[in-house]
Amino acid sequence: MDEIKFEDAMKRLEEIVDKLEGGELTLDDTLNLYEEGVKLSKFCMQKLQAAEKRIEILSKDENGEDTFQPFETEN
Amino acid sequence: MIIWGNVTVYSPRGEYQIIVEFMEPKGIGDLQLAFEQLKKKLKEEGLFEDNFKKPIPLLPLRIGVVTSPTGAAIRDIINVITRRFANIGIFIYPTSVQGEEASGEIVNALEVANRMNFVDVLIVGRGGGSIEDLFCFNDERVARAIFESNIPVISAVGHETDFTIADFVADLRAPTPSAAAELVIGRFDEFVDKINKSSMIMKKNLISMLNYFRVQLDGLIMSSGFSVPDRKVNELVRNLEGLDGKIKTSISNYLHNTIQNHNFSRKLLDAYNPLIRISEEKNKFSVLDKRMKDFAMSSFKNMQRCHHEMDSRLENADPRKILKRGFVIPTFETDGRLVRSVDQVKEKDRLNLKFHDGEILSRVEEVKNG
Repeated sequence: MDEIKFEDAMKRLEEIVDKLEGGELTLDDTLNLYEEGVKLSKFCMQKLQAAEKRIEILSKDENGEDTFQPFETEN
Repeated sequence: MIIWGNVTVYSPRGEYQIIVEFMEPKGIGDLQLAFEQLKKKLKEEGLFEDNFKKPIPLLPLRIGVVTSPTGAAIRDIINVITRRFANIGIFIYPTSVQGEEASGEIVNALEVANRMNFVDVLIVGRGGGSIEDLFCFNDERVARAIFESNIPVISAVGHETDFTIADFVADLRAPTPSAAAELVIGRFDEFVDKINKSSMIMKKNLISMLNYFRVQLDGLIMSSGFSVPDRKVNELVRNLEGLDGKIKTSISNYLHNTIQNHNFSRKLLDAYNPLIRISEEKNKFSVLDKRMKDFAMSSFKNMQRCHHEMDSRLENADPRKILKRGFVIPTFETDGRLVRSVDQVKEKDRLNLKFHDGEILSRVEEVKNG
């Protein structure tokens, strides 16, 4: 599951929802699609929550190398 | 500016007012001319073509911002993102956004960002201003650096109406820095929404699907096609129950018979039990034994008695005893023959008379017949 890109996962999730809404599926297909869909939605949610909240600014360190350092905001 | 309108006077305060009906720039300035020329040139080169525009990633977790660290743009972007509590990293590539050095710094920042390849998307911009203030975003080098960037670029310059060359060449144009931030974060909410909605739709569909099948199944179960076999099944079950009873009875009968047979065999065996025979034979033997012993004993006593009898008879038969009682055994002196009758004897015969305690030699004087 980890190799899947977020974009692809979202696309597949949409496909699954479309298929489920379209009906005309066998019970097995429905259950399989549902299972896959639940996995995908979990995966996407995790990706969304995995990001880290930080605000940094590019600066030169003592060796003159570009590095990011915390950015002080006024408020 | 050339303005067309009506001039009125507000008499209480003595002020002039112009109600403007039409307004246009007075001539085309140098900057405006340069802008139009560059726009035409780059457009002809194809830098604005849609097929060169890279898609903005759906989920940019790290946003690079090329702008002034002290300007309104970065403040607006941080405000929007902080207000939305989005878990996004903001990485600032600081540049000046006006003046002589601005263009070079922006070009440099774009190059550094691409070299570091750390962020998923770049926002390049500043707050609004005059065409002079926005000059660097109309710079050809900046336009080309944006075009060359491998990281998708969102332009975010000025307010709503200001268009710059950077806007045309960027992969996406946001009217303001705040709007750029919204574009990026808005999609987060959109995704969360979409995922939640998807989950709900999937669940709803699954449930209605299951209900549908359940109804179908119920219909099938209620149908005569199923209820007739059901009767058959019941019949079979009853038959089976009957068979079961029969089997149980016959098993118990069989067991009963077997036990009886067994008991009978046992009695039979007991009858031939060698132990019993042995004890019987023992009894017989001991009876015989006793009889034999009794017989032997009585025989022995008999014989003893006989023996005594014989003994006493023998004793009686002893001639010496007879001699003691006063009898004499006469024998001829000549040959020792026993004298049994007087007829054997003649006068003058010499006879030996044997007594119990010795003998007398005698001579017959006279023979008298009895």
